[in-house]
Amino acid sequence: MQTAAIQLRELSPRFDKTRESLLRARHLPGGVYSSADIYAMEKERIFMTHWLSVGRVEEIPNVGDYMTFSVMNEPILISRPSENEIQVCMNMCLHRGVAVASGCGHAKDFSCPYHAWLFDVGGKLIAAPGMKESEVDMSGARLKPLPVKIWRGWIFTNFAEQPPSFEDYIAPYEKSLWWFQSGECKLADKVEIDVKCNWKFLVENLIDIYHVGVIHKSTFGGFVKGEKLKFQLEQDGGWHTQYEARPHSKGGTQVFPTLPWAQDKSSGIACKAGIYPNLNLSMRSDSLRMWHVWPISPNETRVICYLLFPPEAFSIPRYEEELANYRAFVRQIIAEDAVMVESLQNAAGSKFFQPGPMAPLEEALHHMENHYIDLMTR
Amino acid sequence: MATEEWVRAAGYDDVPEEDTLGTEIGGVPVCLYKLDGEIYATDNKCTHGDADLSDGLIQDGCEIECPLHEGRFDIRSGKAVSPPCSDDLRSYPARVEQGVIYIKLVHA
Repeated sequence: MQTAAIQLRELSPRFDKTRESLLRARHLPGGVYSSADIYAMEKERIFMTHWLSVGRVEEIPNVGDYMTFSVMNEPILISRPSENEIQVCMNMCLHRGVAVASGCGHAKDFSCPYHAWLFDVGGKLIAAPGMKESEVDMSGARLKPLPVKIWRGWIFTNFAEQPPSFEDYIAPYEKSLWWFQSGECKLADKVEIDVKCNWKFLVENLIDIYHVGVIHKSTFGGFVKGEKLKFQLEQDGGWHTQYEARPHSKGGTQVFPTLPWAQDKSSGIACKAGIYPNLNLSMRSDSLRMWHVWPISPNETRVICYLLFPPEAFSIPRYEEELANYRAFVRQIIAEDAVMVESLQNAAGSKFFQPGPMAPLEEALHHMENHYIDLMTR
Repeated sequence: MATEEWVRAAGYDDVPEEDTLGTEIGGVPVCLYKLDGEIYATDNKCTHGDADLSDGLIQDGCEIECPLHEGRFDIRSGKAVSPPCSDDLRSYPARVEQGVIYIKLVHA
C-alpha cells in the first residue's frame, strides 16, 4: 500500500492534467491501469468501501436458494433464509476459512467440504463435528454477515466495517432514473465475458459515446446520435443521460414489446447511467441492461451483463430465438470493445504512452476520472 | 399389494457387541446394530448428509451418532433425536435364527 502511495505521488503532475476543465483535460496516466500496487489499493479504497450490486432477487426466489460470488477474491454467499429475507455473508468457514458453499442452487444447510462444519442457510453454525471437547465457546457463532440493501430488484452489499448510508448513495439515481424500473422487470439472461484489460478501461468504455459511431458502426453505432448528447453529472462519480437511438438489435428494429413506462416516449429513446464504481445501466424502448464490471486482476476484468424485460416480453412468439439473437448481439458489442480495451491495456504499460486530450463527448469520463483521483489521493 | 420378505442379512457373530455393521441387502445399504445382544437394523445412509451411520459411534446406549455432523437417531426406532437430523431413518424388524440375522423387507 505504501508503494501504491509513492506511485500515486509520482503520478500527481499527470493527475493535475486530468483535473483541468474538460476542454483542457487529459486522460489518466497509464500507471493507474497497469500497476499491481495501485490495483491493491483500489480494492481497499473503492471496492471495499462502496455499495456493490451482487445479483438479482429473482436469482434466489425460494427459501434455501443461494448463490456464491467473489469480489476481488473476497468470497461471499448470498442466500434466502426466509421468504422476505436475503442475506449476504462471507463464504468462509469459521474453522479454517474454506468456502462452505460453491456455485448456486438450493440447500437446507451448508456443510463445509473440509471438516464438515455445518451452517444453516442464514449462516449460523449448527454443528462442529469432533469439537465436543474444545474449550472455545462457539455458541451463537455465524458466518460474518455483510449489510444488504435491495434496490429495484438488485441485491447490494458493502464490505466496509461502517458502510456509508445506502439511501444517500442511491438517492440521485432513485430521483432521476424514471426509466430504470428494473424492479418491474425479470432477468432474462446473464451474459458473462472476460476481457484482458483493467476494470477502469471497461467502465470508461461503457460511458464512452465518442467511440460508438466508429467501432460499433455495424452493430448499433449507426443509430446513435452522439453529438446531441448531454450528461447529467451526479455526486461521487455518477452520471446519467437520455438520447435518441434505436432498440438494441442487429437491424435496429424493435423485437420485444415496448416497456410499459416508455409507451408515451419516442420509439428511439435511449437512457444510460453509471453508478460508481462498476455499474452501467442502459435502456432502449424495449429492454433494460445492467452491466457489472468486476476486477479480476490488474489486467483482467469480468463483465456480467444482466438482460431484463418486463413480464410480457417473455411470452412473445419465438421468444427463445429472439433472446438468443439479443444475447449474441450483446456479445458482439463487447467483442468489438474488447479489441480496443485490450490494445489500450497494452499501451497503458508502455513508457511511450502519453494520455491524450479529452473530447467534449467524454464529459462523463472526465467526471469519473476526477472522482477516481479524489478517492485514491485523499 | 405390498409383500413382506425375511432376508438373510449377516451372521450374528459378524456384528460386534455395542457396535455396528454396514451391509447391503437387495441393493439397500443397511446398518445392523447389536445392543446388549439384541440386533436392530436401519437404513445405513444418514437422512441429513452423505454419510454411512455404520461409521458412527453408539452413544448413550441406544443412539447412533452420524460421523459427519454428529446428529443422532434412536437405533431402536430410527427416530431422529438430535439436530441437524430431522427426518427419521427407516428401521427394519430383525430376528436371529441359528446364528443368522434376518431382517424384514417390505416390497411395494
